[in-house]
Amino acid sequence: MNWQQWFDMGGYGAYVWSSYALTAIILLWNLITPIFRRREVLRKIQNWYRQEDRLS
Amino acid sequence: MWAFLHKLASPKHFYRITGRWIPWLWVITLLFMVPGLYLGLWVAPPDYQQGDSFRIMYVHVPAAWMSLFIYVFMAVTGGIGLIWNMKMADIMAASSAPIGASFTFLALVTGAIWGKPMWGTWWVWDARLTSELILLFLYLGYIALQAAIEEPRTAARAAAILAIVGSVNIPIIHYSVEWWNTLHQGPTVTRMDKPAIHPSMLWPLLLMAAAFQVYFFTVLLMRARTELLWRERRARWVREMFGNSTRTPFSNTEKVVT
Repeated sequence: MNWQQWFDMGGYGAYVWSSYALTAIILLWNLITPIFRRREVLRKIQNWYRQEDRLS
Repeated sequence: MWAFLHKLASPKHFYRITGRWIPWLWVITLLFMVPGLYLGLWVAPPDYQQGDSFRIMYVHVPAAWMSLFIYVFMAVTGGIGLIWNMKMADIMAASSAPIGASFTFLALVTGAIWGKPMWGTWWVWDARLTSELILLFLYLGYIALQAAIEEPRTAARAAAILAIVGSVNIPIIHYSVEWWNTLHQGPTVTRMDKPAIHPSMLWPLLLMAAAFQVYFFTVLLMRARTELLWRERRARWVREMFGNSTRTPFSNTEKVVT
């Protein structure tokens, strides 16, 4: 089997590769959102501490 | 075992212990996924009826299995939080919802992409597809309900009840292909007798399913740890780790801890 045949997937290439591409996007999304969320939460926590200190 | 689980229920220990697990969980995910993709996309022969289009199965079926598994996980952890008032269980349930919704979406869309060349249509309103779509709406309802209630305990309780009531949909999805006439094919792997699938096609499926499973727990822990920090911000250990106020002037060095 050569590369060309492999990408062609017996004529179903568009269906197969779009499914795998979407899977990759979903898996990456699930990885990236918690990383950004973590940054945001750490920033929020530090702001919260600053406010607490000002009030006390 | 129980002592260990008890320790995990404490937010502080949970945060410390799972932080060490995450890199290893990524390694395990890749150890399943790389051979799964290689065998599924390259080694396994084309199906005698479906040609190469059957390879969509290796992402569609694990995604669909995970959509059900995560829902049950969410209902069970939600129930534990509801009954025993356990903060970690609440956090687990809330953190698993967006991941479950994304897998449900993936199962639906890859199913449509597979359906087009095989059935000649992207979508039919039959039992399997409709009940899976309802599952997506249940996830979205759960997320919306959590977000609508400010107080975390009340939000967790309300959402847990929704998750438990909604779990009636799970057996409906699973048995839909047997109870009703449907375009969707019946189960090939989880049959009582021998699976109706050749080992060269089955192995990549099992590897991909294992990869998705470990992947779920990995990203779940990432989400849960962040959510835990926010809910535990009043706790001393969080402040010592992440506060950079005048009260804890030396805590900045701790920020490298992830």
